[in-house]
Amino acid sequence: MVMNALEVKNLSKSFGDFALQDVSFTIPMGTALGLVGENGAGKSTTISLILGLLARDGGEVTVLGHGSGSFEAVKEELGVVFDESCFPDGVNARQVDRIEKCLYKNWDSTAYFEHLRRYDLPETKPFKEYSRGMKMKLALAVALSHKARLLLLDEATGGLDPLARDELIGELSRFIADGQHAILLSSHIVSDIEKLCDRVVFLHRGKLVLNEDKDALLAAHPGETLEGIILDRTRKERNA
Amino acid sequence: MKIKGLLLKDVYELWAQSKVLLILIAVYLLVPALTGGNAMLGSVALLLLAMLPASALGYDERCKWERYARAMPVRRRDLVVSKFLLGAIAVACGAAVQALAAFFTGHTELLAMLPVTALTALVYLALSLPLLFKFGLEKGRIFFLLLTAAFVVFGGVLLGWLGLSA
Repeated sequence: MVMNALEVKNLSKSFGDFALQDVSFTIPMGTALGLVGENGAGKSTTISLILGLLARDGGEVTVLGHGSGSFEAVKEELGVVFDESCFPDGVNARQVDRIEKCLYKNWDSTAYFEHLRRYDLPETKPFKEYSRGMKMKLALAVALSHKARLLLLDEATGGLDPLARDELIGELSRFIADGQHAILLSSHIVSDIEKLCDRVVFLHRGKLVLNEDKDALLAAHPGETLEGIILDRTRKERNA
Repeated sequence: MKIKGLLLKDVYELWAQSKVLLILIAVYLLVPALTGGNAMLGSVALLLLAMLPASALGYDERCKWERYARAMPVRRRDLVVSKFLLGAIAVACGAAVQALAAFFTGHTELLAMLPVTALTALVYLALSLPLLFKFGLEKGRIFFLLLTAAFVVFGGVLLGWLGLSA
């Protein structure tokens, strides 16, 4: 039986004016799941709840077989990229290697520097001189250099130009190809999700609207792109 | 090991962003021993060293480092401990530099007040960091400023009392 990399069951969280309600999905090993939705739909909240960065009101999260009780141990095997959260401005990529060596048991310096070279990232330039796309690539290099089994990528393709996005999608496809790895990618850019993901979860104002196999979804809407289907659903939900 | 990684990150960050302040602190540390006076500067330097974790916390907040670090195998406790340790090590190094400088220049009278000022800096650290962790840098700032003012006044009175004022 294929192991699930991530199981999210009836996840709920309410803030003052926003509530994430009853969100459930699973990501089997060897697959990628795309989390789509507008700004404020609850994508980042979902990822924060999965990571235990926010306390949930209800529901269950199981990451690589670990429930929330033993969650700290599993962080070694998670690679995370956030849209707006990174190393401080004065640090540089070479120093990140020395820092991460202390933080991750499985840190692989060789792999890390290989990623830096491939992404064309200068090793000694402080991050304040990095563009948003470069910071994102750096976070990806970190996420891919400690033998992570599950990647959680929050808007990770947003700051990249089309060519870099395409290369990244290729790299992520190879990452899951061996069946031992999995990816959760949240993004506004539905075309990236169409290229990479096997399953699509669509959130609208904190509610799960769609949780379907991508190929089945495309087959049910012949001639349409995933972006078109999602746009249609968004309009329907707004008018509902 | 994790604490070492977090300390490294703060040292890299502080050196890159606060070089001028660090050089100024180094000068303040050495002036009393070199001139045989200006003892107050040495005390100020130790207090400034005790404030370094607050600066580091400010840089962390700006890039939402805590969120990123918590997604790595780092507990909140590690983040808190590393900041206390950063301050304690900074004050200890500062005191050691002052002691060595006083010793080598023969102004050993400066050594008498060093334990008091180093302890004062450590107490300041122990009081200010919990406030900053509890309220964050923005909300904690007002408490932080009041605490700093109180310590400067206290330091002045203490030095006057010891008869060692600048």
